[in-house]
Amino acid sequence: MPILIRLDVEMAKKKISLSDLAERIDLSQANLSILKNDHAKAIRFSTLEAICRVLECQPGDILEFIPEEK
Amino acid sequence: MESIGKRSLSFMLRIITDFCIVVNVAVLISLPWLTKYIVRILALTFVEYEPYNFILVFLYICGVFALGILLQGHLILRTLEKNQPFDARNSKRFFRLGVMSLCISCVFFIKIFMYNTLLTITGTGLFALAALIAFILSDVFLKAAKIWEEHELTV
Repeated sequence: MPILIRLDVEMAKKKISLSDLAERIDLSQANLSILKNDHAKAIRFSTLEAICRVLECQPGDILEFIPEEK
Repeated sequence: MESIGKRSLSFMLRIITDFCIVVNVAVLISLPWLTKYIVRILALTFVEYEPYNFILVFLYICGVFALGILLQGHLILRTLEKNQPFDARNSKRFFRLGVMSLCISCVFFIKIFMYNTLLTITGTGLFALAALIAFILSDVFLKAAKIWEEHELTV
């Protein structure tokens, strides 16, 4: 998938665990794990907003576009 | 009463389907003797009756396809009981159900040219209609499964 999730990088910068982040953004650990491991098909703006607020970052810090090689 | 889930209408329908499967298997096993009995009764009436061999082959073919339909129905109803209606496998099951209905309709259609009755014509149409409905449901369930999967993977 061309959009990569760099959530683990931001989590490491803020030294926050998956379970802590899940609790603070009111999302289940399972769903957050789906996002972290690049299995998610879509992300709600409300979820993205909550993650950026807790990790004090921009959406571009978490999402990276890598074009597919032709 | 809920339509899907435990102790729901789909649970009741699955029990009925399981009973029909048992009856179907029992009838298929005893078909040669049952058919002789039916032919003897038909011969006593003034209605033109169909020969034994033809009825036997016709009923066996229809019976086997009917068993296949019931088995697919059983599997679909089990997913409804588990509250997982939008399973991609249900799409294939509906498709198989449609194919088997179409086969029964074809057998009835052939019977029209050999030993036609009003019930034969009705059966041809009904099973053809059931096949079309099953094909449509197969496509609908496939799309629903994709939408459900996207929903499940939306964070």
